[in-house]
Amino acid sequence: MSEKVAAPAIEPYLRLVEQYASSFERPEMRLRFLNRTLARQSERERLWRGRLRRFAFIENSAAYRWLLDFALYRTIFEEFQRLLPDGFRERRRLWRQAPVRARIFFELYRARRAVYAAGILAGVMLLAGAVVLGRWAVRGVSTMLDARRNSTVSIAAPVASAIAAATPNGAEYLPDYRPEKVWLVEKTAEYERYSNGGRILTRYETTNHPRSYLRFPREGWPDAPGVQGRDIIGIVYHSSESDIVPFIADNTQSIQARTRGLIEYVRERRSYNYLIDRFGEIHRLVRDDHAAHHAGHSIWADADFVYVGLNESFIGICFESTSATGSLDEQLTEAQMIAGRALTGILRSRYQIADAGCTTHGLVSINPERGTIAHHHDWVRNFPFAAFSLSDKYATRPPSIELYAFGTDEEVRAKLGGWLWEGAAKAAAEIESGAAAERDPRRGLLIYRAQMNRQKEH
Amino acid sequence: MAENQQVDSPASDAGGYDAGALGLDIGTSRIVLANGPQGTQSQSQLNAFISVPYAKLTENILQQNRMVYHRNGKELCVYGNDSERFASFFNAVPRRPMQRGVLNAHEAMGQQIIQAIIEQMLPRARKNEMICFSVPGKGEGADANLVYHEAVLRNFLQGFGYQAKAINEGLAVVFAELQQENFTGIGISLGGGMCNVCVAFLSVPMLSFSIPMGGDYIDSSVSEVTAEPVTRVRLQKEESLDLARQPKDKVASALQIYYEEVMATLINKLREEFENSNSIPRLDRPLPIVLSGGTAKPRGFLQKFEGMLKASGFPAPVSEVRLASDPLTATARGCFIAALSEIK
Repeated sequence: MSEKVAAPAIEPYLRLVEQYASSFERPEMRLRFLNRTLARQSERERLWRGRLRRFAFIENSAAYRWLLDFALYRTIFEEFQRLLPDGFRERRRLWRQAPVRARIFFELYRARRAVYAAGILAGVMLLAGAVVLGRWAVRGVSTMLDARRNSTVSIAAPVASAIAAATPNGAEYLPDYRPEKVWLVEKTAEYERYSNGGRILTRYETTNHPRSYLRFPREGWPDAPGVQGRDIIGIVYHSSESDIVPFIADNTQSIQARTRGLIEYVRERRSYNYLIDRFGEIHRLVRDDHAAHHAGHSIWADADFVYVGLNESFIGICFESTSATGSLDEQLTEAQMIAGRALTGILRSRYQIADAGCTTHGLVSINPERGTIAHHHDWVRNFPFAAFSLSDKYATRPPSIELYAFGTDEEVRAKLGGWLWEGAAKAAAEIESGAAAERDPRRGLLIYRAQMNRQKEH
Repeated sequence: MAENQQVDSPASDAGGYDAGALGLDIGTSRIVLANGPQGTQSQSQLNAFISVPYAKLTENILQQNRMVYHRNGKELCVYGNDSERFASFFNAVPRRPMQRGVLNAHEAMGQQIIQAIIEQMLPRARKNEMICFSVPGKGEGADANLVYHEAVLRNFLQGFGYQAKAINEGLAVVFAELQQENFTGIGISLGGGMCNVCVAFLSVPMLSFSIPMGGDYIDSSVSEVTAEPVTRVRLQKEESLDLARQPKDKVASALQIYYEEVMATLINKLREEFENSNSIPRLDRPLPIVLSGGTAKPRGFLQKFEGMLKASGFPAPVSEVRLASDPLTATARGCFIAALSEIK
């Protein structure tokens, strides 16, 4: 008897194929399954071996076997599916004969597309969830650290009160104040740099129409005719009240993107002469000698004249900021504070703007239909006048009340929370007591409309 | 073929034809067609013929007896099952179109007769149906003839409009009888002209061969040593031979001797092939052996074979030795299963 040499062992995959083949009761089906599955697997193995001829180490690796097994499973399932009988009962009977593991694998195979889709969906959701959670966590930590560093200046009521307290009550004007002399140091196509450190970016500067207005003398009020003017009388400070994100390093790109959007919006509408973004960059959007549409229906006055429709006579400076949710407390960054102070200095020095001409939109805005004040309420309180070396205009009697007898209605009172700034409260009290120059708001409205008409005609 | 007159056409009754598949066992002594559900319907014809000089009277007798024949010039050829009956009229021995499993080169009419028998059994194909037919395995002196044998038969069948595929006879036995074992085991077909063996693993043939000994060899050898006519020897073999008992006469004794010789040759060859083959995997289970074919039918054959196998020191573990459920149709049924499995 000669020895049998090198008889190959039965490949494990053959046992697997056999296990599945046992499910078929009809001999030709079983035979067909065996023949096709084994032929396909054998052909695949031959092909792979041919392709990997030069990389024998791959063929010996566990991964190669694993892939081959995986391909076998796929082949088995494909053939199994192809040979399944049509009738439900037949299928059920066949199915009962199959091993439990085979049934589970086969069902998974049949539902593979749904499983893939669910897997991808779950993966995407997991990833998205992780990103959101991560960002939330980072933002939370950053915000907390940021709050500790106090990098964002919240001009909240207590601070504003402190500033107001530092300002002498009733100080309407600072006649002796002389603005620091500020001069242009450098001018390029992109920016202007001034001696007080202020830098104005001019990249987005555009034109509107040259300033031209009538100012109405206090002497002979209200019958004295208006005097024509083209000079810049003052500054009105605004808040963009735009959508902003927390001022933290992680949001840098978002902050810049929002600023670009705001600049485009403002420039297109010529809404302000200047915009100070959250990083303290000063953007000139409408040239100084042209009016911007920033103040709308508005009234302000200095010692000698009364001004209406302040777009023509006042420069509009807008801070990219918004009020805290549910309050009127605006949020300024430290950079905006510095930039705002510098720009105020530049403009006051350049155009010899008196302290009395620097006010906020909330203080000058009126509703010409209802005869009410604070129609727009940005900076209706808490503007840091002292930080900008300006007197507190919240202590000044607003000319809209003093000279036009405008007041408040339910809507305004609701907006202000029943609160009224000191100067307004004083002026309103004078009307009540009969000490005011004008006491009839209807007459005040007629005066205002007439003045506005004359200014428009002019 | 000059004329062909079919008196009876059983092919027209071929049940299961609609399955689009047929199995055909073209053996030395019989041609068996399997069809119907699970190959349960089968019909067989003797693969034999007898020729007599043409005479009008003879032709009338054939027609009156509804015998299948054809006229070839000055001869009348009666073939198939009728050949045996016709031979008994004339006390003649039917001739065989095949010898030792392949076409008989010494029989000039052989191919025509086989074609006529097959045509008698098979319906014309309508849609290029699949048919699997059996061919013997390689063996002593048969290798070169196998190619010719297979090609001629394939041409016949393709000529009838079928897709024809050859299946090893031993493998067909595996297909027919070893389904529960997932077509793993040893199929042995002991036919009239030769014995065919196939060792299959999961339907894949690992080893196949044939030996040129079968029922005809036993009959002719016994006839020679006992001086009895072959027909008488065959009659005794088929009707009363019991290999498990002591022989009662010299014919029975001679039959036992030659049966044992065939079995011993077969087992020795199987053992040798097993020992010399590197292609058979190390099996993790004992193999079943299935015996089929007319030569395996005598009583006591199974026990004797099993006993001789055990005594031979067969190199592989054997789970059981069993006789096919229907030894005469096992090969045809296996071919039928193979044909069904080929249908796309």
